[in-house]
Amino acid sequence: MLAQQIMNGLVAGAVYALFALGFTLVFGVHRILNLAHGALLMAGAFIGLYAVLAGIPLWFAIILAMVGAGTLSVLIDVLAFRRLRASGQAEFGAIISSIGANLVLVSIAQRISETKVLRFPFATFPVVFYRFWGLRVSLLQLAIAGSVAFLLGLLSWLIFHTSLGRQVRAVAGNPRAAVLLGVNPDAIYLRTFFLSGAMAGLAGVLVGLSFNSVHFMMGEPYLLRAFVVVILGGLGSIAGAVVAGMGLGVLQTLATAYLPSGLTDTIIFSLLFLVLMVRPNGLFGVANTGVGRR
Amino acid sequence: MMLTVKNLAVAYDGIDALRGIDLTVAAGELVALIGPNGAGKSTLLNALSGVVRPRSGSISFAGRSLSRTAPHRISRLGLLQVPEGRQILADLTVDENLLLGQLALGARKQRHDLASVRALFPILAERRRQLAGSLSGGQQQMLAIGRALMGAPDMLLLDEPSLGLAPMICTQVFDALRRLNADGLTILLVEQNATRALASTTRAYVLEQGRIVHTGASADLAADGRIIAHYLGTETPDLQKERDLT
Ligand SMILES: Nc1ncnc2c1ncn2[C@@H]1O[C@H](COP(=O)(O)OP(=O)(O)O)[C@@H](O)[C@H]1O
Ligand SMILES: [Mg+2]
Repeated sequence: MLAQQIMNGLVAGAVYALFALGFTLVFGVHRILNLAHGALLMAGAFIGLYAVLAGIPLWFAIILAMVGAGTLSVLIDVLAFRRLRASGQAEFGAIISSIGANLVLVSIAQRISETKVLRFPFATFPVVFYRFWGLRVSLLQLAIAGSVAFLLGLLSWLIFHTSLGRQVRAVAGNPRAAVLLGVNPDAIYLRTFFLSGAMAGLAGVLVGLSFNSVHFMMGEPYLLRAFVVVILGGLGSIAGAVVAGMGLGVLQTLATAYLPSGLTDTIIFSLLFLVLMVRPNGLFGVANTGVGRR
Repeated sequence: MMLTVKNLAVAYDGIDALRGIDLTVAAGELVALIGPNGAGKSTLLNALSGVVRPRSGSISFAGRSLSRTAPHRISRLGLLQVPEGRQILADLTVDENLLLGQLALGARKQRHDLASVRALFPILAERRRQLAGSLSGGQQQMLAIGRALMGAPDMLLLDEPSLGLAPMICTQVFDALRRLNADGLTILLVEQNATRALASTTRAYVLEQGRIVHTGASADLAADGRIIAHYLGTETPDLQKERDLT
C-alpha cells in the first residue's frame, strides 16, 4: 500500500515539477516572480478541454493547449513585463503586473465557464489499468510520467547542450555581456516565456485529466505549490525543481493517505520552514541564483 | 576607413560625457585610446557598440551607419567589444563561453575556432571544462578575448584589458594583441596604463573630460614627457624598460 502511495505521489510530483520548472525558468532568467503562472496552467486546461469538446483528438488538443498557454505567456511578457524591464524596475513592479495578468485571465475563464466545474467527456483518455509488482498503474499515469520525463530531458538538453541554452544562461547571468556577444535578449525572453507557458499548459491538461475537473481557480493551489518547489529546490535551479517537485508530490500523497485531513498544507509549509532553516538557499540553491547552475 | 566617428556627443541624464569626438581607425591599424579615469573611454566604446545611444554625431563601420543598429546586430556585423572587467559568464564553462562567442558570426566566415584560440591562449585548453568564474583575472581576460575572436571580428574594441593584471600576465595579453593585429585584426585599445598602450600601438588618441585633447603617432605622444606626466601619471622604470625592448 505504501509503495502504491509513493508511486501515485511520484506521478503527482512529476506534474508539480513540470509546472514549477517554467516558473523557476522565468525567475532564473528574468528575476521575475510570475504570479500569473497558475493562470497559465488553468488556461492550458481550458484550451485543452474546449478543444476536446469541439471534437479535436486529445493529442492535438494537448498541442493546442501548450501553444496557446505558451502564446499567452509571451503576451504577458510583452504587455506586463517588457516595459518594466526596460526601466530597470522589474523586480517589484513585475509582481504587481503579474497579479494583474492573473486576475484578467482568471476572470475571463470564470466568464467563459460561468463559474462551473467542467469535465472532460468520459474516456477522453482510455481508462486502462496495469498491474505489476503488486502496483496498480493507470495508462494515464504512465503517459504523465513518460511525457514529463521526456520534457524534462528535452529542457535540460536545451539549456545545457545547445546554443539556445547557452544564450539563455548568458542572459540570465549577465545580460550586458550577452548583448555584446551578439545575443538578442528580446528573442531569448520570448522563448523562455513561451517554453515556460507551454509547460504550464501541458501541466494544466494533465491535471484536468487526472482529476477530471477543470475550473477557473484550478491554478491557484499549483502556484502556491510551485513556490514551495522552487524555494525548496533553490530558485532558478532545474535539478532542484525536479527533485523538490517529486518530493512534494510524494509527501502530499502520503500525508493525505495517512494523516487526518486538512493537515497537508501545514505539513508541507512546516517542512519548507525547516529546510530553509538548515539551507536558506534551498536544497540545490546557491546564494546568487540563476539558471546557469545545474 | 574601418571606423569613422564624426562629431559624436553622448550625455547621461543631460550631463555631457563625450563632446565633439572625431576618430577614425583604418583597416589593420592598432590604435590606442588613453586617458584618465572618468574621461569617457568606456562611454565611447559603448556608443560604438550601441549599448549607449549618442546624443548627436555619426558612427560608421565598414561603410555602414550604426546609429539605428541594435547592439547585438553591431556585434554580428563584426564590431566586437571586450568590455571593461572582462564580463565573462561565470556560470558557464570555459568552452561554453568560447562557443557562445561564435554567435556573433552570423553569416560571416569563421576565422578562429576552439583550436586556434587554444593555441593563442593555451591555458584555455587546460581549463576547458572549468566554470569561467573560477579562473584568475588574467585567465578571464584571455577568455574574454578568445571569446570575441570566436565571433570573427573585423574590428576589436578592448576596454582596459590590463586592469588588475600582474605585469607578466599583462605582457602576455599585449603580446597576443600585437600578434592578432599582425595577422590583420583591426584593434582599438582603451587603456589607463598609457605607457604600455603607447608602447604597443602605432597611433593614439588622448581623451580627457569627454574631449579628444591630443592625437598622433604613439611614439611621439610617448616621447612628449608632458603628456605622460600631466595626463597619465609618471611611468614606472619597469615599463620604460619593457618599451625599450619592444
Ligand atoms: N551609466 C552612467 N550613468 C551616468 N553617468 C555615467 C554612466 N557611465 C559613465 N558615466 C559618467 O560618464 C563619465 C565617463 O565615464 P566612463 O566612460 O566610464 O570613463 P572611463 O571609462 O574613461 O573611466 C564619468 O563622469 C562617469 O561618471
Ligand atoms: Mg572605463
